[in-house]
Amino acid sequence: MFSRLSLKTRNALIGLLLVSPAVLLFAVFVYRPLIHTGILSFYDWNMVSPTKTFIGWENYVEMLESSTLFKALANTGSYATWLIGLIILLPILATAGMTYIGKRTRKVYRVTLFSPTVVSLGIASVMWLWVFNPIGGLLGTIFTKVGLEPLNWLSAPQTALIAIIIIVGWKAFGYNLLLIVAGLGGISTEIIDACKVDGAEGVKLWIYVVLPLLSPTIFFIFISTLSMSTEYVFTPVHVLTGGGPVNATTNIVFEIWRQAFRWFRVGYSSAIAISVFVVFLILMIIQMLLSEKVVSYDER
Amino acid sequence: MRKSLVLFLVIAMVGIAFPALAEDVVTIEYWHINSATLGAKAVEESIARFEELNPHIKVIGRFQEGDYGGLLNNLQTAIAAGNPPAVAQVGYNFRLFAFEQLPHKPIADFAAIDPEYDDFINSFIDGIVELGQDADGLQRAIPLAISVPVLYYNADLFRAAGLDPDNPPQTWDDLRAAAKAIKDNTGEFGLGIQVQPNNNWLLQSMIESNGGWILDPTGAIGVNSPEVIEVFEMWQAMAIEDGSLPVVTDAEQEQAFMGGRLGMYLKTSAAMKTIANQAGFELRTGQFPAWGDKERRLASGGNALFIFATDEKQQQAGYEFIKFLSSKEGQTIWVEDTGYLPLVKGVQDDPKYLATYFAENPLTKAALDQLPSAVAWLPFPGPRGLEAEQVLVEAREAILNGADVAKELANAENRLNRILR
Repeated sequence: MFSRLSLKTRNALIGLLLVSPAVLLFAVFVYRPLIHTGILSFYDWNMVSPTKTFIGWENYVEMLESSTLFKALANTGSYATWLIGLIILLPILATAGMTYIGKRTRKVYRVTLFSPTVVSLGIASVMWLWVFNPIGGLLGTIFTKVGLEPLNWLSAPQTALIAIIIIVGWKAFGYNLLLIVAGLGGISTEIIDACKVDGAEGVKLWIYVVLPLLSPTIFFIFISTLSMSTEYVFTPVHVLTGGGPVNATTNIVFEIWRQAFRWFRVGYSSAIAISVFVVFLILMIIQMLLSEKVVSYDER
Repeated sequence: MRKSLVLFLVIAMVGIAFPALAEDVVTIEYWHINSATLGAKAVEESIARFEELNPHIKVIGRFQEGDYGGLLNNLQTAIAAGNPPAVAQVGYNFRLFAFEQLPHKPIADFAAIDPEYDDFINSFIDGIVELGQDADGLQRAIPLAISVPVLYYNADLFRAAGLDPDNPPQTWDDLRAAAKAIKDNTGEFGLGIQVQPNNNWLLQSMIESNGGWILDPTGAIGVNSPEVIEVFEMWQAMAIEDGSLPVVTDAEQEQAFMGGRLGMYLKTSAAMKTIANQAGFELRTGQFPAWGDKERRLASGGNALFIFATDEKQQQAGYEFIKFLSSKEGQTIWVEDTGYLPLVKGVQDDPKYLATYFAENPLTKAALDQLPSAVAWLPFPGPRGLEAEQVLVEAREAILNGADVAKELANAENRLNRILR
């Protein structure tokens, strides 16, 4: 029967067959939970009771009136801004700096800067607890030695957010550094030599030639840092501050988790999750449209 | 072909029958929060001894991280997935939530089939078994652990500060003065108070000992009263004015105390074994301070055991296990490796059980002496009860960072009204 179909149809069927495992995985693990969450967002439920109460748009209305949620949103923005600055700009500068050092020292730097990436976030958080402890911790002792008052990093609203950013930045720095170094390796030396012949040197070379050629890598790092900043901060926040003090370190992902799994408000949490999904969807579409104009690939 | 088929069928039938010929071993899961530093050994010993006495039951202990809150998280998921543990520890502050929202097998159901049920219930010290009963008096769970807040202090730092370690502070005014003395004379912090990111256990003792209420016995919200304001003002003054109380997370406080950088630490008696093992100085314990001459009221920490299994055999096995843990022998194993207090009669003074242990461990005296002052750990009622805890946690965080006490407590009252109504 199969042999009686035209070549075109046969190829189409084979194509469908090969794609189906991926589609199935997506359907089961991504789309089905998504739809289920959407449905749950209209209910009031604690996940264990056999009865679910339908409450329509109430969860969404409550969301818009919640000051805690606005703080979480503001924090999410702060995390993203700081982290984009820290782990995109700094690795670029570091890589630029490393081109002026000898090969062996460069390797040492790369290993040292990359090593935090292999430590798990949970372990890293506990380690940093010792660094941040104002009573006898590393930073506390240094501050006292130079005559400054040690900071209550994790318990003061002003510094807690920064402490979490430092932990996540410290961990993710090496990963982005490696990506940029790899991206640099993908730039053909002929282009660089040609530009050098035309007179581009040092900083000018970097700004007008290297960075534009690196733009696919930078674009990728930008997107991944954006999503990383919402997810990665969860572990240190969960282990060290519990979202506090006074909601200084909570972010949207932590709120979703907290509402559902700490306080058993599955419906409300689903409403927040769906709203976040919609917002990110819109952001993604904008990024896609922009990338046509901002990113330059070698083919042009 | 026929011969091999017959042979195959015979082997298959024997293979199927074989497990049925074996002894019927029931395997149950026991969920607990006892980490290596807080009673894991006691759990292992209890399980081993229980299995010795009950060879047809196998118990698998599963540690849940994140304290009682973390265990409750995982419990929720397990129940939703249809795979609950047979027995689990539920913190007393979550007991109302568990009574009303989590499907479980009430202990009272076993009264009909266990001839020893009445003796079992009567074996507990007065007032304890009620912790496992709901508002109608139905016995749903069995209390396992009781702890009270005690004052741990560093005798070496006391002497260095010019204080007498044999006379620890008895009132909050004395405590404040002692903390200040330690800070002024030794440079180290004077007092730490146990805090948690998601509950108000120690705060409740501070408030109720001053005659105030978070929720009074009628259920009215009492956080905006002069007694509660006084408690927070004292706390804030020690942190900000005196500088004798560090504003840090509990983990950092504990690190500091065990490292000899904190003079006194108000914490649960359950941590006694851990602190005693790690303190590199002369450790002493004293009673929780009183407000002037007002009577102390100390929220008892700990947990009660619930049966969550839906299978009858597992429920029965779980009940047997709970009975063992509450027996004199079970309580002895439990108390010796933690800092929890015995809940059943006849164990404390009996040399066959715990009399020698208490005689040889003077650190336990403070907790034991305070047991008569123990009151129930307050759970917030209703479906949003768990969220209500957060309100006071945030008020405390704001106040310790300098916010106006009266304003914060008025705000807390409003938020609690909204959440609990």
